[in-house]
Amino acid sequence: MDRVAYFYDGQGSSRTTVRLKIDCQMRLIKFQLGQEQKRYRTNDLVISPRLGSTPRRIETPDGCILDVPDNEAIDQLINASEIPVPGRWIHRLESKFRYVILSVVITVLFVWLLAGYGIPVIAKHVAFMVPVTANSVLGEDVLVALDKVIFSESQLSINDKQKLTKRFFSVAESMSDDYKFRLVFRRGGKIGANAFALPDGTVILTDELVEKAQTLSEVELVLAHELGHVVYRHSLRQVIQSSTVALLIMAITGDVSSAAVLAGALPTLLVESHYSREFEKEADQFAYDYAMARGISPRHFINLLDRLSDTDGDLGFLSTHPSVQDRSQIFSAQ
Amino acid sequence: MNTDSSSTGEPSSRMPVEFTGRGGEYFRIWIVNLVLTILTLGIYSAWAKVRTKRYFYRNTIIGGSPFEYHARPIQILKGRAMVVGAYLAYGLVNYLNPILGFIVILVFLGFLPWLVVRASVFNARNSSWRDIRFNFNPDAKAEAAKVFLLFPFLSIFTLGLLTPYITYRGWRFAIANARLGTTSFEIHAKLGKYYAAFFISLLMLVGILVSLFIIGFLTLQRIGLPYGPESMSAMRMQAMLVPMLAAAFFILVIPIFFIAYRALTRNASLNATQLGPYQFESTLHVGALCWIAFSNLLAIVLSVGLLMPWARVRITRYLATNLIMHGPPDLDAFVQGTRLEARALGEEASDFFDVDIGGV
Repeated sequence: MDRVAYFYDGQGSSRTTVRLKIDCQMRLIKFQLGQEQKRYRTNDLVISPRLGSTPRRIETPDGCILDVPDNEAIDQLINASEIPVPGRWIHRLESKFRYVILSVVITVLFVWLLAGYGIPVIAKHVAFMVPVTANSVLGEDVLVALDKVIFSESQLSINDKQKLTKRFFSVAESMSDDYKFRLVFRRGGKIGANAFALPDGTVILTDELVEKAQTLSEVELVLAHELGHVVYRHSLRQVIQSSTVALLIMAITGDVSSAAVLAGALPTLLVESHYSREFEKEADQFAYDYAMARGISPRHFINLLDRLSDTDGDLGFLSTHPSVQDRSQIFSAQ
Repeated sequence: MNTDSSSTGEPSSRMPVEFTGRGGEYFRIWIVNLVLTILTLGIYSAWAKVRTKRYFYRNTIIGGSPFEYHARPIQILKGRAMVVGAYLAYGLVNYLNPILGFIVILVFLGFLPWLVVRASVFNARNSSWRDIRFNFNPDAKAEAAKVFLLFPFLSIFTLGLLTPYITYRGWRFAIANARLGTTSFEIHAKLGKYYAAFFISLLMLVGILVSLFIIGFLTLQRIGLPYGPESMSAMRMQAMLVPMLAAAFFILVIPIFFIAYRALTRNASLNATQLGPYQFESTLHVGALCWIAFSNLLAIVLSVGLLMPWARVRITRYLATNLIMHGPPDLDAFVQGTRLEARALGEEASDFFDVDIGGV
């Protein structure tokens, strides 16, 4: 049977419509071009692999091109002639519904495992390979910046500061000497009752949090929680994880355009809030272990959290943390 | 612009570019590409890239004939390996000595014009229509250095007033250095049009901002600001709403400026482009483009990325069908000339570092 095909001679841009005769038995194709009868054996042709429903491209040994819209006819010819067409199997995957579904499942599973487990594990290993001293570069600049924008001078009494500092070092004494542990007191102002850890071992404690606490042990466990962030190197891990997620999204969407970045914004946000919850759980666990080792009741930590959640604004200690119910579970389940 | 052979003797017809790709079809290609890339730890990505490019080229049709993409995956794989190697080496240097890392960046910037030209040459020589290859002037490095290094550097000191000029030069670089076979592309764009595009886009942005502000103000007045002890939860709502609104502002409003500017400058450039006896006409509409961009974004986000292929086909179809070629209907006057090979390093590097060369 005749098929419509378009002939290009490879020299000029004229297009000639030809009637292509496909002979599967003799393994050849032929067509009339003006006065000339063209005839090629399939073994001499380069046939492109099938790509969606785009026309098939056939290269002849004399440098001409044929575009053939009828993909089925060409597939029959390829099967009958047993000529090799590299990459043919890919179209078979694309055209079978079950392979497409399987591909979706594998891809989703892979991304899920990578984002949920792979990236955190890799980030942890990388973070612990970086020497502690490299972390200290970050600390001082951050504190200076925070002092300018948010904090004002602490109004706690010298006596209170001394007591709290003593508790702080009782938490820190069991840890590596490479950190420059110090406790800094500030008035939180806008951010209210809060505590932060900087990667170099500096912990900032706001007056408001101290005022909310009823016992020293409550503050001590908050300090333990913050030092948990330091020893588990959460800041560095956060940076590594975020940049890896960005790379992953770039790889999936296939480009680095602004549209892709925007499309990736929501999943990135979800993944990162998951990561930061995991970090909080780790730090809680650290505080819990510390409390058990020192014979302090873990209840103190929950009591303070409960009191904060009653009155805390939106910018306080709890805003970036898991719900108090979740955390109470960690502390009471064990 | 209709077929008119009686008066002038020079028949001219209107030939819109067609795009025949379909979202469902491309989805299958895309997901198989992804899974094979995952299973081969990234090596297949070079094959995936060629297959994707071929799908879009083969479905883009002028005068009944599709485009073709000729790059071999192995070329692209080599290019990618070099880029990844260079990137890792840079990461190591930067970790060991940040100052040296900065010097490496400066050296890379020095190579940027060369990379841009290499990428353009690679892309052009691996693209064809009716088996006539495109080509790009490999000696355009000095021009590239001006357009991609010198002018952007100068524009730091001019509060962005140089931006339209840089866009103008970028399009001139991309078009006037390109050829189809032996026929050169020409561009006769007026610089004024680019400045007009810039200020129209800016006015559009300001207009939207002002009307949003007025709407927001009126709604707040109607609801009334909450007072009293029960307003605590309302205050919390506000504290949450403000950052969300700010995010929405940056995601939804700011891009309108960029979409408008890109569409208008693309129209200005392509409308002034000529290829032998052929004229081009670009009819992009800012409103339509904004609608496509935002609904695409929403579709991608809501489908956790699974509607990416559909969105890409959609925007490609819009861009293609709004490009129209005018001229002699028998498109047989182009001649091949000599064929040249090109290596893939430039192409991959520019892809990786997101060099936007504003190509056609």
